[in-house]
Amino acid sequence: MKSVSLNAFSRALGRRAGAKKLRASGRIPAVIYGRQAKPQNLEVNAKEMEDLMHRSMSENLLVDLAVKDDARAKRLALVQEIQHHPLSGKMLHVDFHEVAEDEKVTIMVPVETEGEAVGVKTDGGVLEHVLFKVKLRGLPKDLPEFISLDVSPLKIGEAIHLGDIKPPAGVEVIGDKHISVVAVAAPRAEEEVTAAAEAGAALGEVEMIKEKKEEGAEGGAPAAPAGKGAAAAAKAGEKPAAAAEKKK
Amino acid sequence: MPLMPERVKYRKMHRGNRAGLAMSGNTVAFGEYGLIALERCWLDTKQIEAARVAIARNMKRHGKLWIRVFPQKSFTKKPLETRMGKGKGPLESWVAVIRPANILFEVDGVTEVIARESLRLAASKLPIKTKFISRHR
Repeated sequence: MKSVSLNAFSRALGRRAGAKKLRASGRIPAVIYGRQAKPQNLEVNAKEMEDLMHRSMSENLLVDLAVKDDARAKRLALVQEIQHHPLSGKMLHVDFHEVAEDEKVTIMVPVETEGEAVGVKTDGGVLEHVLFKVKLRGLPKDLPEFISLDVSPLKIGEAIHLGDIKPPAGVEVIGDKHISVVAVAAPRAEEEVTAAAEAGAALGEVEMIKEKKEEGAEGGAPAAPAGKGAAAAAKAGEKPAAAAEKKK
Repeated sequence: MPLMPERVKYRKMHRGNRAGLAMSGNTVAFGEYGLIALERCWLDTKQIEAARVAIARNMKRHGKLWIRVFPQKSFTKKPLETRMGKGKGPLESWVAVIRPANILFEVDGVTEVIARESLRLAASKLPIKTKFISRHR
């Protein structure tokens, strides 16, 4: 992963109101943290950051941060997380993870597919992405922006597993080697769909059965007072008898 | 295929509120393309089913579809020409509470053109404005 340069400024405005003011002025609040130094609040130019993201293939970026009025001229950092607005998709906040050139780091890298699988092309199967991101470990400069997988030889029922991925030199894939990343599944038959629909209908009726059970439980409750009543009546029957005995 | 909970603890619920944006279920998580809500509503079982059928028919058994919302909320309605009072009315339907930014449907395994058309047809069955989005925005 090649590093790109980015200008940043130390940030004094904090909290919600401060962040809102920043965004209104065309800046994005950011933070940098790592082993090298204490966490520091930053702000970056929104336009500059958006341009960077448009040019990159993924959100994994290695940046040379030039923080204004900072003792160090350049700070090497990975973009750890970008928070987006859920509706507009605008960037709200950026996390930079400061790294050392000679220290291995672990990041999540997106998986892209190449070509069209045989199982999809000829047999009408469905290409299933099981993992959209894989965990890689290596030196920052060795880590790729994304992992590309050639899926063209895949037939129905076949899959590419985590162990099959060949990462660049100096990088290792972390995780269970048997987990499938991409698979080609058989097309779903129409009968299955109708069966599922019927099952759904049956599930719908289960709710009503539950309700009846509740009603049954409610019906059972009044039975107890009736029993009590009977017991009371029996007691009442005993009392006159006892009174008659006393009179005697 | 009526979408409704299998078992519930209490059948009748409070109306609740649907303010704010969707803070969960707002990212394309399973497929490549999705339909995102831009407005808020109660989406009922019939509307979800109509949209599902529209997508399935247009995709012609290709690809895969995920329904990201589920009608977990029940609502009641008093019968017509009934005087007020005498308790809460009978169950009317089951709905999913939709807030802006909720992902409603996701598709995968089809081209963008087919996905776009399928989700457009689905959107026409829904009572709110929606937008087509892809995983990569």
